[in-house]
Amino acid sequence: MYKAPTGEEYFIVDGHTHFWDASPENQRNIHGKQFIDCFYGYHSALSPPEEVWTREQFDKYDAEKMHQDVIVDGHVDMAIVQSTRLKDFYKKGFNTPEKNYELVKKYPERFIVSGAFDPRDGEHALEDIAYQVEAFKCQGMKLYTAEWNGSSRGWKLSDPDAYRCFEQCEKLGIKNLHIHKGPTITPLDKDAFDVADVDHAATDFPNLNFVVEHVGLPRLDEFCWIAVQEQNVYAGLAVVTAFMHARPGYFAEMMGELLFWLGEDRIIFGSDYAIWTPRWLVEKFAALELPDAVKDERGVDLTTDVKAKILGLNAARLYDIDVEAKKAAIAKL
Amino acid sequence: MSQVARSISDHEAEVWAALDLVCDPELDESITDLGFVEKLDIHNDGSVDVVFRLPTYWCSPNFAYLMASDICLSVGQLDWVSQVRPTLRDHLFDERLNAGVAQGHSFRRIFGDDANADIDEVRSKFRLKAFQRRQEVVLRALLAEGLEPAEIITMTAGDLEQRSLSDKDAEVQRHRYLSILPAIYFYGPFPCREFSPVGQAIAADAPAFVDDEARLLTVSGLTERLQMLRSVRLNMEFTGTICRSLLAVRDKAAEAPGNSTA
Repeated sequence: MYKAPTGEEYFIVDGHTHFWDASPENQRNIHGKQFIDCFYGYHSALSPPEEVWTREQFDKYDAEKMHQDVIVDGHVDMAIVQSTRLKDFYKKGFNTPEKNYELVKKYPERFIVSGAFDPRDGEHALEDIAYQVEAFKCQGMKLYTAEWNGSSRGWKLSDPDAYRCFEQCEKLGIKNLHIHKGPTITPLDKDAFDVADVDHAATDFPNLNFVVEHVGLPRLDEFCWIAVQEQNVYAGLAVVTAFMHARPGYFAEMMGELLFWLGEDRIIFGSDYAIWTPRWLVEKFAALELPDAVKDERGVDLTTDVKAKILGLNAARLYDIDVEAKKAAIAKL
Repeated sequence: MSQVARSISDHEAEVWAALDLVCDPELDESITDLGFVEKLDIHNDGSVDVVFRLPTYWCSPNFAYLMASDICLSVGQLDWVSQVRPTLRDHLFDERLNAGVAQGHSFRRIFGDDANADIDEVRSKFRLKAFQRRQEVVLRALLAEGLEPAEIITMTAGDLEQRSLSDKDAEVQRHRYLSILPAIYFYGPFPCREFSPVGQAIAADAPAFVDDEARLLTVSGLTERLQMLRSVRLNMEFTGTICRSLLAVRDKAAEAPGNSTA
């Protein structure tokens, strides 16, 4: 729980966290080094100066440190830990579901693993999903459509193989798919993070929730257009929240935009830990007031109730977290 | 200053001015303002080396290719230039891109099966976004200066030429908007293969503000259009902030003692 200096209390669910090992020993090649370099760039570029870690800390951290940063210091009640294997870059993988599950074993009330699959693996992908649900109690999946695989340079949510995986998810009770749709980076195709494929999949799988991470930026217009039509499409705020320090005016305008198009029930808070630590993000978000210009132009507001939904209640709904029961369980820890 | 030195420094200024015109397609900002250009070398035979780097090792190669080829086109327009050699540094595909551009190869030829993207489509898509971005700044500035929507939508290109804006950024964008407007009239949102629409002019009585298909705006449509343009701006500001911040961090890391990313 986070209690703001002004007295409001918030139940916090961090919808987007990572538990990685990017240490030099685990790097397979130059790409592994450059990948974590890029993350560290984001971290040091947008964090408040006093929140910047050393490079060594950032390369690798243990479960205790993550628990301390996210749960103890970070005001977060529960966190979703996203998986990205990246075995082409890292010998043991980057943040695999196996590694993430260490957190669940240690802190079962606090962490939920979101797994990962690649539909291009065909039959194996279906088995992989079943295995992760069984072994790591996954309740969600993180999908990275731009990942290379053999000669393929990316995939789409609308591919037939992806549909078979979604059917498998439905069958096994996975409801939440976190889709990385973010800044334009390698690989080559301009469309690797195009958001149009979300539209098809969301229409055809109305029982699945599609959390578009990083709100499809820099394709906000296309994302909003889709989200208006598909009620099972959600905005994941990871990366966007980090703008609160460096570009607060921009962040306020972005919130106004998302509230205008999607409404208050489909926006999910995320820190992208360890790229950013949740403490300052939660505190700043709880204290945020939209400027009048933003409110008036769009007819929206970020009230305490709206903040409570974005900071935790929306994600709690997606992950079937009974907030009162969870609060009671946490109080007994 | 000797005659030779003076001409070299003149040449250098001309090359920088040519580079000012090359934009990062995703940001619609000059690569010189963004600090992407690291170094120029002008040689006695009239050849020019331009060394540039991007905010990350992972930046999209199609944008890198567009910037490299626009550097060739823009600097190559100077009459004393015999050859332009852009060199991208510290990038996943730097060697492949540099070799390909040096030989004048197309994007598809350089990246083969790794790239399905049609580079002309990418170029035209981002030209349209640049048009939208510049238009928003000008429209909002005119509204802020008290013009009524009905006055704005009936302005001609000639009217806009005459009307300077008091906001400094908006004034810059007014010129840039007028320079990109012919592209929308001549090509619409579809593939535009020219590097620059310079040389093509539109009539002074052509409407100054049109939509992406060069259709007239209406008073009621203006609000909706501004809403759409706002998202385009938020996208560009997002990427712009990320790019600038990442480049600053990268430069700082490269300057740190005993550290080299080269």
